[in-house]
Amino acid sequence: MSYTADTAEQVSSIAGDKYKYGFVTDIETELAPMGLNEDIIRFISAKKNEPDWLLQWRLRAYARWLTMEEPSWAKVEYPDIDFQDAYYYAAPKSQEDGPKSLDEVDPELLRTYEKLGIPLHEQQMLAGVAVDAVFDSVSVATTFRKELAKAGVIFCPISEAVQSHPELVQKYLGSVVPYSDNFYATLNSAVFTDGSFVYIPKGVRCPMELSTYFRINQANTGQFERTLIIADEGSYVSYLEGCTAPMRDENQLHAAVVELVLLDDAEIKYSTVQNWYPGDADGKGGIYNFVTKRAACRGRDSKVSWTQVETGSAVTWKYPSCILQGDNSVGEFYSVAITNNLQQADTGTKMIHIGKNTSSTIIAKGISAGRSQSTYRGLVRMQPGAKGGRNYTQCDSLLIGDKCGAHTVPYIENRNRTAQIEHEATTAKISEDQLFYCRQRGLSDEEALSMIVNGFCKQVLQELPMEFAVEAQKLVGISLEGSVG
Amino acid sequence: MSLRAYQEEMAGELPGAGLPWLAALRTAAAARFEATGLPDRKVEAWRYTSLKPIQDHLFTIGAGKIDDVPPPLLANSHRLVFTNGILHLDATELPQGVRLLGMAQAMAGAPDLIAESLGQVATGQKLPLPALNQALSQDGYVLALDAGIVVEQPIEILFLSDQGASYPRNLVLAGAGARATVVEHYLGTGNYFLNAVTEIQAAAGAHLRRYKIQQEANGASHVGTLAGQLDGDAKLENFDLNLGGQLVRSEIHMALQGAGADATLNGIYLLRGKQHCDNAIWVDHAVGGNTSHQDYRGILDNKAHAVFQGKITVRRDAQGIEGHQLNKTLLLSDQAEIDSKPELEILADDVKCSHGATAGELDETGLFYLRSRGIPEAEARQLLMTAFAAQTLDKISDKAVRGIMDGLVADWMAS
Repeated sequence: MSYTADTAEQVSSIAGDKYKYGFVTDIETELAPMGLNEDIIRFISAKKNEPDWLLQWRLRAYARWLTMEEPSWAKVEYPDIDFQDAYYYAAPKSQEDGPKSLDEVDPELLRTYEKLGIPLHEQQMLAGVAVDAVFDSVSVATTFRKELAKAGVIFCPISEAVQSHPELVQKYLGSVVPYSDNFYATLNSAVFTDGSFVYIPKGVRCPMELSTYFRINQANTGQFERTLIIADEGSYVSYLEGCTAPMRDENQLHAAVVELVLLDDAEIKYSTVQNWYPGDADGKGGIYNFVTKRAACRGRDSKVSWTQVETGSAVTWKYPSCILQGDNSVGEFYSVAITNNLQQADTGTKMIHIGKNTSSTIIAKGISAGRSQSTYRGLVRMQPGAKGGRNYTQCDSLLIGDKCGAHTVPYIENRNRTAQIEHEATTAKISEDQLFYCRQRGLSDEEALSMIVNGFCKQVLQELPMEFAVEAQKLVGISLEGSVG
Repeated sequence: MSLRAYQEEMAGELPGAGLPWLAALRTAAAARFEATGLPDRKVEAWRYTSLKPIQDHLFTIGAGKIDDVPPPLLANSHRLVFTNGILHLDATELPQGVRLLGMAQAMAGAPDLIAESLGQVATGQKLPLPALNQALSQDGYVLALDAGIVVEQPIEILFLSDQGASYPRNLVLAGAGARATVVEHYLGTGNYFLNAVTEIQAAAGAHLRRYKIQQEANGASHVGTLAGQLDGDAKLENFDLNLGGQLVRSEIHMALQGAGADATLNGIYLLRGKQHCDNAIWVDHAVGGNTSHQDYRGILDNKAHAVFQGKITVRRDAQGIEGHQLNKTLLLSDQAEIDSKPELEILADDVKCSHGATAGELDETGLFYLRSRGIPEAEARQLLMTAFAAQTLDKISDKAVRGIMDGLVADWMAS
């Protein structure tokens, strides 16, 4: 059975059964007909009560998308996606559908939660169990919102921001990732349903880390998520996306767009832990994660830092980038990509140095196990005006087992004499000596592996916010279970 | 003019036209080229190099002889001279077990020598220029070494050009344990296009050194392809010195097919004016237990544009591989550009592979140190550049060739 047929079956088993009659009879749950056309986009836009400029923008994106071809340059293979065989608008899935208690949840999932040390009520939330009154998420949200409002920080769903702060959204939406950027970003521009909007006013240091996982606004932002973060002059924010626990999700294709805008002296720290369903050991199912993330350092002395731990998804296609336009701006990219079984990850970054004395650091660690393929693909470009530009890149790959692959595809372009670029990459396997040493000290195979791999990733994991870092370390071990011994 | 039309017109006049296997080889090559045509920049391997300047010069074949031939670079060498792609001077007094002759001579007099090997290494759908060469080539050199033969004297091949398009096709066949050193020297004046292919087949334990000195004329376009396959314990030391030409592409495709094989592929590119030089190197570790090393360095002045791209592939189950790639470039001017793309594709786990790339200007602190010791700036810069290039030049194992390369590099820096 092909993937596509399999996917279709999955979709019909999850969505179809529920919505077979839903569209006609159920007034509460609204669902656009399957497929993609202008009417669907108008429908989405109308549902969200969007202003006309946004609708026109979506329609321009859609018209452009029709002329584009799916990119094929990445080192990933997956069956053709039928873009007409999907729903582009569905109200969030009702809680009734989920398991009634943890007893109904896949024990494998529970075992993972336990290993990660996730509290019980969070487990319920993650597994999609209808949360009862004991876990009062609303009160938590209210406290957070009050504090943020006091600081002047706007943090809300982007659909809400379109209503409440249209001038900001109109000014910045698509200014970093234009609607014509690439196949998936263009599709996202046409059909995105929700996402986060963050605005940090001048000189404000956001009083807390903003997190999508604990963001209470909406649990299910859908497969076409759109995030826009604006850090005004002299502001700072740390934003966490995703979480270490495996997320239940019924959509196979995810094409998110994240845009970051940094004005003078602003700093954004964007951390991602991505652990979506990677498919089973034979590679069946699993999420396709085709994401466009880009930060524009427009102001001088601005700084953006991307940190990502990618352990999930069947196919990952993701290159968080930095456009270093402001003089002295700084871009950082720290990445750990772990692939196991039949996972494929093609990920990396782009550092475009435009302004003077801009600097960038890239630390990418790829770990391949099982029959997986992991690729680092990155671009460092010094434009003619990037006087005194500086880049340091290190990408290391670790191979576990003889059936996997690790690939490195860096593009290094220097058009300025005074700019310095350094790039190094290594590929090796875990040394038998290291494993032997650990085992001889009484560690099991898996503990030894987890410890060595954590050491290999340390440079990146230490960039994560504290609580994330602890969970991420455990996640590294769990992701590689069964790959030794 | 299309290649097919040209070929039909020329078919009867090409050397070895009566050999059916050769005709088939040429027809197949023409079809491969026609399938893609000249690659444009949308083709990933040609991302940084445009072939537009040569597209109208592909079929300007048939320039005459050049009578004024410079003396050999190396003393005591066996030398062949080609002018505008056609054999001009023969080698003499070859030792036993060594055959060194023109490709057209081999086609006419010793077709069996080349029948099974010609065109066997430089094939593949993605090599349109070697295919074009195969379809149009009229001459080149053939070097065949019997097993166990050690050729003490270097073999020097001069390709002298002054106009038109030429397509030298060269073939090196080294028997088991044979050893030889080949210097390919490209020299010229005026405007011309040269598309050369050298195929190397090294049997078990053969040791070959190939040094390419590319001093094409300022107005010339040069595309050179080296395609080699190394059996077990065979070794190839290759060095590319790129000094000349307006548009230069130097491609290497190396397949390591036996355990213990080693390919050492180094090079220097020194460019100024509006020179463009693209070094593209693919190393295929097809089986386990072999090694490869690359070290390419360049210095770019004025509006020069250099490209380094290379890919090390380690195939599935090719365990125990070591593959290293290094590219360093110094930029002397604000308009110069370097694009570097060192790629690794690893499908086995017991490997040690690495690549490194740096690009930037001369080290300010080094310069300051030298000047603080009383060395004038110009001299200090030259010293640092010489030291930079020497780190790669040091890897040339032939002393005489090293001396020549040193001299050429020093001349470039002094001018």
